[in-house]
Amino acid sequence: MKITLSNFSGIPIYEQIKEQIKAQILSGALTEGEKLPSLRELARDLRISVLTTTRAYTDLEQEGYIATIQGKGCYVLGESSELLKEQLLREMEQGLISAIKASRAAGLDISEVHKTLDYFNKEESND
Amino acid sequence: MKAIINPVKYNLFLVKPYWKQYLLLVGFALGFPLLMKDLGVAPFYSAFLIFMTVSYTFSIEEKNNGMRFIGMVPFKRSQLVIGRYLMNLMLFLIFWLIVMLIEPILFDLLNVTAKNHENFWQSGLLALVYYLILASFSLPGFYKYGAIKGRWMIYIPLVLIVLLVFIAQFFNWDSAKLEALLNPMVLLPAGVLLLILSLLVSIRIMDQKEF
Amino acid sequence: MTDAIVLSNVSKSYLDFSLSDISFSLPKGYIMGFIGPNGAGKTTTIKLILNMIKRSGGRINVFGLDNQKDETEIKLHTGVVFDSHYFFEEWTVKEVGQVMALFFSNWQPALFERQVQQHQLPLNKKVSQLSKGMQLKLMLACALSHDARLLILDEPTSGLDPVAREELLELLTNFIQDGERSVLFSTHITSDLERIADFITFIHEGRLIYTGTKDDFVSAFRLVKGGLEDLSPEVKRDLISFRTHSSGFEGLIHAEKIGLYPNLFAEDATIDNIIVYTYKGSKTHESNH
Repeated sequence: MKITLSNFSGIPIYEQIKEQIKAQILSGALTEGEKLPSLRELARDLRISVLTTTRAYTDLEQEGYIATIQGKGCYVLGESSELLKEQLLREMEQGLISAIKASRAAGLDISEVHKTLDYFNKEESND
Repeated sequence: MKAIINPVKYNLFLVKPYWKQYLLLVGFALGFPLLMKDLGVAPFYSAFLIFMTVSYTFSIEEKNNGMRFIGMVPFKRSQLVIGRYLMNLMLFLIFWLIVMLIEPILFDLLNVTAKNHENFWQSGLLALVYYLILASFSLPGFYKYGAIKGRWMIYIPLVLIVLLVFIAQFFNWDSAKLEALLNPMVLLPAGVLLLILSLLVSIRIMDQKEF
Repeated sequence: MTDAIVLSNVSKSYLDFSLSDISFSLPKGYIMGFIGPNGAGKTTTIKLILNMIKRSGGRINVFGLDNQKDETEIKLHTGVVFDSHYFFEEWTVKEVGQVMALFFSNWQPALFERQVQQHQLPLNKKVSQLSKGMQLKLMLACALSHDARLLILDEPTSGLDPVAREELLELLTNFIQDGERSVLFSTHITSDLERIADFITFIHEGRLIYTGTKDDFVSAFRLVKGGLEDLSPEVKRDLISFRTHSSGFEGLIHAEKIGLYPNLFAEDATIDNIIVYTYKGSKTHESNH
């Protein structure tokens, strides 16, 4: 796991930790079942408050990225996690709703949205 | 038991760097009576010399933030006070024993003809009482007012002694009456009682102290 | 029992200063920064916890025990570090260990030796010959050689260089790893706390201004900046305090009020900003009376 914190980004520290762990789970850098450092280890290593790491981990847990097993530690749930899937599904729906809203505001036909979606899908998979 | 002995050891650690001074005092206590050719004065002289070191532990603590140290250690203040009393009493007894045992031998060895040879052990016991009185008055003074300001407390017993002499002269007491009054068998328990009272007062002072 | 320290409505009055109605609690396993300007009452509070001075009112519990009734039991498990050492200067490092062993029945000589080695403290040097940083390390070595569950530090970093301060922070974060041990850390060098403190207690002129998580503390305020023309009477009223300079002003505002002034530049306030402007605010407030 790799975490780099900036004191001057204006983004709260817990948010930075959360986003970076999330990104690493989604990119596959952190795989399912992998053990994360404990709250206190992470706080010590980054020289930050335990409450800050607690908040980051709690958020990640609620969003289904990680799970805490009492007395054992924190583990990456991975992309197969039901919770995570649900979370991602919700994110996708939100994105689509705002795309539809924007297209309506711009007076575009829904077929335009489909076309654009196909286009981006192709672009993404080419990457 | 450790609750009593360890504070004694702590006080010994405080005065440990001054061991040379203590040796010097022993030298004085043994040497001075030789010069005066008076054996009877030796116990009193040694009692007063060692009494002067009673303030050491207090001044060392004052100079070294010792009260913070005291404030941090897991000991009751009363235990620390008892430790200090015992340590001073112990140092005195060692000092006193050295003088009582060695001084007559020195007089013999150096062939000094001494005054007051016959009452030596009685003087010794009186000196012990003398020390108990001085310590009993001064220790609470040190606890209450510190190593410097606390010193005036010793004037109380000194004034009392002078007063006693004055009264004795005024009423023209004969030597038999004086001797009865200066009987160590009566004075010694009284001195010990005084020291215990003094200890209780010091504990009370220390318990109320803020630092 | 989950709190290392609980103060409830603690007060102490002197002729020229009084500490009034101080309440806070430090949950076990965490680090609390204890802040406030010099003379705010930080050392007085610490001395009250240690029962070096007697409280005039309120209640103090350490490890769930009464700090007066169970004083010795508490101190057996508490390590204390002051801004300057409390040893007899003529003692050597080794003798300091011997004296500590007299008082702490849970003293671990091997642990002390290891720490002394780790901090490169010369065993046979006198305390007076050690540098200020070394003396601090000696106090820490003592505090950590008797199985302390609570560390109380009173201005330990004043007079320490940045390297030594960083080492201290590392030591503290290691200390709380098991989640059972806690730290109360009084300081006016707040950059030390900016990162590692979990909780903040802020007192000023003997009164409690804030106690709670550091994150809430810092996010309760915003630092605002703008030109002099932005400093309208409304802005002035809502600022806790501010300072002006030739090209503008800078001030502290409660975070919930920042929405009223979208044209002002706002950024995160540091703990220092908060202390300074709160202090200044209380002064102007006084002079207005």
